[in-house]
Amino acid sequence: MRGFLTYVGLFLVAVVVMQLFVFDSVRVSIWFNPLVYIAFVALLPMNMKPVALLLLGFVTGAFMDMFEGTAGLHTAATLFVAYARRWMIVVTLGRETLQEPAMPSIKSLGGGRFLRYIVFVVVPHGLVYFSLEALTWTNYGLVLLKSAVSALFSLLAVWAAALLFTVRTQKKV
Amino acid sequence: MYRLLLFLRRIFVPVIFLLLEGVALHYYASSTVHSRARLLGLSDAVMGGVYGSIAGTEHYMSLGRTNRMLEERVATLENELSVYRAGSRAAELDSLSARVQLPHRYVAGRVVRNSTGKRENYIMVDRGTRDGVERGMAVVSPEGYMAGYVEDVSERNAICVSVLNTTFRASGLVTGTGHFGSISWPATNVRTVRLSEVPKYASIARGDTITTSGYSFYFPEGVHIGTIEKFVENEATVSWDIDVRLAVDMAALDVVLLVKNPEVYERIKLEEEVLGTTPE
Repeated sequence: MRGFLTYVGLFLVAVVVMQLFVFDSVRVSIWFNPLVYIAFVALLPMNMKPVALLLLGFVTGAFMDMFEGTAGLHTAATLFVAYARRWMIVVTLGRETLQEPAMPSIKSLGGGRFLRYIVFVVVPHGLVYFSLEALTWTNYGLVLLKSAVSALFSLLAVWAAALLFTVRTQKKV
Repeated sequence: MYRLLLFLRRIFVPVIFLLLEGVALHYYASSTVHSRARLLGLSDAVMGGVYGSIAGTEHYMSLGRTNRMLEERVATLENELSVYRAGSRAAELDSLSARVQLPHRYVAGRVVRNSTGKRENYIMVDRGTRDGVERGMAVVSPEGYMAGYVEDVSERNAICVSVLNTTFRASGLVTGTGHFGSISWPATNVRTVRLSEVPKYASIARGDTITTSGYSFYFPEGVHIGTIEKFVENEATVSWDIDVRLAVDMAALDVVLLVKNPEVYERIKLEEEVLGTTPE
């Protein structure tokens, strides 16, 4: 139950507050469009069943699509990450990590491994999203720039969310 | 049988993934500007004006109210002025017994949501059907610069297609020459739009003013768009590709005027009859 509430909190903080209220209302330039909400999918328990992960990815993407009026774009990118996350964990953290019933955290994984894992989650998500948005190879530099800027902010957001939510659960124990 | 079950279990997750991904991509591919604007309007109904209050915190309370009052005053004055304009034109044309052009109607509103970082950007304005906003109204800044048009309206809010939207189209006129072309946004920069299809023999210069022509679907004639920044010849179409610097600063848009062009509805109806579709 506490785990469930933690994830409700994570969803509210990462998707609703950080993405919709903070980053979506910052209008700096055409290339500034960070997708920080992916923190939610990145921090779901490592042993989560693939089907449950897919459904949560679908719900997160559909939620974003509804609020940004992008009609399927966020859903497609987030589903891809939710599906591929299993292999990202195997590649960056090792197959045995797939059994751990906990949120990926900096403390349990170590800073270097955690960073490697979130890079593998965040970068493909941005690339899929911005490529699908552009739907063209011309001016692909802009897609790469948008993905890079987005990845930078998303990495910071995942890192901050991981700190915030793992500290909180440990205090309660 | 057992092996079949094993096989099904193995392909279950990829099948679910492909199915959901297919749904998402199909929805993305088949959606139109209007359905996407609808989606944004729907999210607003769920959030119940949260965006409005967030935008509100960006202004000082009293400052916002005073400003709003002034904008409303401007809108009423513009309304009155357009009646006088129409009246004087009617008097001018009286001897010809020409049809009197209906005056434009203005509604002032505040921008509660706006984006510039996407390829399809929308503006949400806190005025809806209860304030007399209708689909197809032009969106201009208080200074009278072109900013977008209303795509979808709910009771309290209007979702507008921003100039910074790759589906945005308008007809731009190079003032003083009578030559016009098509305005679109190439999504490279928040201050530049592209004016294409201006014939090569048109003599244009850097700094020339571009306004909307009477052929624009949503805009009344003569709305200021911007000035020519640079232009190159397009070999394929024997016309100029012109970069126009927008007069409006879309990132700083705060208050807008929604303008009803009475002829829009006639045009929509006519195009529907002729082409069998609603124009985007």
